Amino acid sequence: MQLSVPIAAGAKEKSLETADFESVVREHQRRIYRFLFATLRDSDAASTLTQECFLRAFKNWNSFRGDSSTVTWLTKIAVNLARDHRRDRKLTFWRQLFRPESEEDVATVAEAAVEPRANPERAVIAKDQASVVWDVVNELPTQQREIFILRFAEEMSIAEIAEAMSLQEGTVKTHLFRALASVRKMAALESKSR
Amino acid sequence: MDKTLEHLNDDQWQAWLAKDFEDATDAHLSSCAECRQEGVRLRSLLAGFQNVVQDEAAREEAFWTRQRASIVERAMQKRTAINFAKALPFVAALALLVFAVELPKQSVNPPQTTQSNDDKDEALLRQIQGDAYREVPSALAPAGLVTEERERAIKFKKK
Repeated sequence: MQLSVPIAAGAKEKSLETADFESVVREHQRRIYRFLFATLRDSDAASTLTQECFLRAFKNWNSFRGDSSTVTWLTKIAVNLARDHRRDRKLTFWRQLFRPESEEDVATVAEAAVEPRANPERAVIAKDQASVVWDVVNELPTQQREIFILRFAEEMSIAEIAEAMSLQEGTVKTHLFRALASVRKMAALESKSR
Repeated sequence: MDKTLEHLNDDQWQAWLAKDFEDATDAHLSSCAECRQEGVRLRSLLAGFQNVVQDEAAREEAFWTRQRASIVERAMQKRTAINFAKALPFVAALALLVFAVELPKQSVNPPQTTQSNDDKDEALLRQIQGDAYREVPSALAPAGLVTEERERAIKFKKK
């Protein structure tokens, strides 16, 4: 997936006009929402944090130096928001009590993936794959989970992920390899159990 | 990578899946049916994950339009608040400056309304005093005549 840079580095205006800002939102809102949704598995939270992400970007637009692309910068904000949200969510135990992150969520997601436009065979395969991968991803440590999603759901490059997460590329690879090892292990167990 | 290796090891699989691999890995995959099958299965697994995320995160255009409008509206409100916050010190400084300039003037020249009232009081007092001075001699005229008569009588006796 080609990453676009709507406002070129160095050529960025200091003051962000409404029309410019709206075009930035239009171009990136789906991607930011998707990342937050994949990370949090909560559409309401993803929607709220997507708005918050752009508002933070708007507020700090003048401090954005343009060293990285706009989408990488926005992803960086989204990663921090998702972490804050998960941290807050851990404190609200009652919420987990009534809405546990379990196979139920995975099943919901998998059911949603079965759409009329998909053929039945693909739908069944997608459901199985989703169940396995989302289960594993959900159990991964925070950084591994975020890196896995950015790599395989958003198709960001290692360099872009490193930039967005303020990590060395080598560290990103290490996390990614570990995450992949977990997914492979679970996938192997899954296929053997059939 | 050595093509004579039986199969890809874990690290090579991870690297291949992360699309961070050497050409030799591809070479092995093209020659090893078992690894190729495993590669297809793993890639399919990851593609399925991506499809599910994308399908589940898909929303109607109205959702994105509403969200965008909300973001822009809140951003503009924030900008207004920020501008007001930025302008507030200047307004306060201006008000302080005006106050500082006007205050000495008021202390040197007492308020006009108070001055006017004092003048009226002063004029009224003078009028009363004037009237009193004018009235007293005429009121005391008989006493003056008595005094004059008495003085005249004393002079007459002396003579």
